[in-house]
Amino acid sequence: MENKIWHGLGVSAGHAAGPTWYLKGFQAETAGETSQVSSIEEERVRLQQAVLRTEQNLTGLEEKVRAEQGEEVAQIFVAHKLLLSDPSFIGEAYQRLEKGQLNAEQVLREVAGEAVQMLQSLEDPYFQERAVDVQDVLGQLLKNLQNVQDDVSDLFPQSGNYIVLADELTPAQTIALPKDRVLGFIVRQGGKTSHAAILARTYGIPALVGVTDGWGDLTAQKWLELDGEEGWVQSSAENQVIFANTDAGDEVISGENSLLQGMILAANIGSPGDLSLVRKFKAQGIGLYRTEFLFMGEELPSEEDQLEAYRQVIDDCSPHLTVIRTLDIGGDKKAPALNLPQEKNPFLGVRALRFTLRRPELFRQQLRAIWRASAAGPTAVMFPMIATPEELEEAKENLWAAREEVLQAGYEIGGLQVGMMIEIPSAAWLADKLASLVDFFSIGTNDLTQYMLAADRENPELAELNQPYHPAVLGMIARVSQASLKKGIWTGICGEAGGDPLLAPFFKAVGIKELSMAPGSLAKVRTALGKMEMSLEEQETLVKSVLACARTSEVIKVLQSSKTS
Amino acid sequence: MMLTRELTINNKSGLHARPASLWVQTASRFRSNVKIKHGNSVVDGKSILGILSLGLSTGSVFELLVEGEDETEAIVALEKLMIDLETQDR
Repeated sequence: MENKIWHGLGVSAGHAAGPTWYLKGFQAETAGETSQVSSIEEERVRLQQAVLRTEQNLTGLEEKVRAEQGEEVAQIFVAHKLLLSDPSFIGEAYQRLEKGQLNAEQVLREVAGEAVQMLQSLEDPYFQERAVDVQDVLGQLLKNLQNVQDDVSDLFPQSGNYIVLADELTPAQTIALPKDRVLGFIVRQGGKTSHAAILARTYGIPALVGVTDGWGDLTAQKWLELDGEEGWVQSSAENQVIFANTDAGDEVISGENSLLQGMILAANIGSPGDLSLVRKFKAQGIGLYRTEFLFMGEELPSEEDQLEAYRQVIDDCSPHLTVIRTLDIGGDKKAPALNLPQEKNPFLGVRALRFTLRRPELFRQQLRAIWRASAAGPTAVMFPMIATPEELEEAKENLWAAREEVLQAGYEIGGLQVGMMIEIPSAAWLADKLASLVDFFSIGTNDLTQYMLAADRENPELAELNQPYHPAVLGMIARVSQASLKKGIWTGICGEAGGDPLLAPFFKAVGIKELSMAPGSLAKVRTALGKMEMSLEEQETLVKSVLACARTSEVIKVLQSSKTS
Repeated sequence: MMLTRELTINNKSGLHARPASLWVQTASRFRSNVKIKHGNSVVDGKSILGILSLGLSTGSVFELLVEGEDETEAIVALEKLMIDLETQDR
């Protein structure tokens, strides 16, 4: 039998073959078509509630994604939220409701339809693709209006690996899919800058978009083979399953002087759901397990809920180390179930450890869960937002008390390394004193930078100021690392700078032992370090030249020239 | 009183996703009315759809019209944003 072949745009490299699963879109065209307009007032309230719920969902996704996949992906949801507050979209919908002829669904479809038409009429393909954003937001609003629960993760088969076919793939859907069981994506709509393309690259899944010719025939296929680089898909014999992502940095063979020697490359994760990425990108453990996502839902997790999540991660990463950070809530992270008070300056307020020390019952519960989970493999606990030794001591008292409680209750425990985040300048300055109280430091570069430069990292106007390349920030990192080595403990980096290939040689040169980053960054950092040979002398020169700079721009030049030399 | 400025888009990607998002976020911080005039179209400068509808790309010239109690602050912030976008490209 001759193989049929279809063509599209390859947007994420790799080769895959396997059974297909077709994701049929939500029927946005007909939702709520038949329902009557009850009263203008009632429709207005329905719309308000749908907008509010959609906004909450988007904020949740944005925060999760920013932490795990980085800023580029998070911007997708920022743009979606802007649509929700757009006067010519939602604002216009409210105005049309007032006429009393259409219900909320019909009004939304009308204004969204006009927006889509407007965007599709523009010449630039980039703008045309933004029509998908409008349809995505419309779909979410309609689902919330109709109280439809169509979680993609429920629709996807419970077992087996599949190539996913979709007319269009929204970011929320892509994120909800179990990525460890997705062999590839084939999407009818979209181009190189479509969200599906960006996300597929982030997750390292081969993908093909813009397959318009013969789509109907394609979706009828039960088994397919695709190439995400060359941009083709063909029918395939129903027995081969291939998954080969070409971008895991596997080809790196490091020499004796390579900067990769003695450096652990670990992953930052937010939930056990990210473990598939950790495996795929071959992380050597978890350098930062953010536990706050457990607490961001409508209800607080029980000790058993926490235990289960922590144990799953530790067990999966063993024999590598899992570093669990205690609850870091407040600042930019909200948690409805915790009922946090509004603060004038949340980043300088009662966040992270400052909060948990004020809620000992909550803190102890989390620490008990961590102790119990530690029996599953190598585990470390680390405390965020420490400014003084007293805070660290109080946290440790709670930790030992929780250990007693767990032992008294007859549970088994394992060993536990105890560490702290270095993100407040006062703690960084006292590193030599604090080092005798912990087993390791982990530098949170995002917060350290924002606190050292007094520049809100959420304020886009200050983006240029908020740079980890600032010589004072890098000087502080060097100082902390060297203080820790003198006291015989290790220091890791877990902020965004940890995944920056440009900074990796500098971190190695100042004695950092572990870089922890979004799983998607592991390949490029591994490649950057593995390719570089630098004698100890050359490393020393690099550190000296960086620390001799007064300007961020000079630092960047020094780092770039060391890369090319 | 209404303040007006003629601005040119000098950053390489035009007013695309992130630049357009930043523009709307910046404009929305102020109470003043913000309008953008390009050719014969005038759109709300706080509307992402409005801005996208202009299809502004590198080299496009548009007029910014700001009116309200904090118009001076608003126009300064938006002008600065345009310069920042340009320097970030380099």
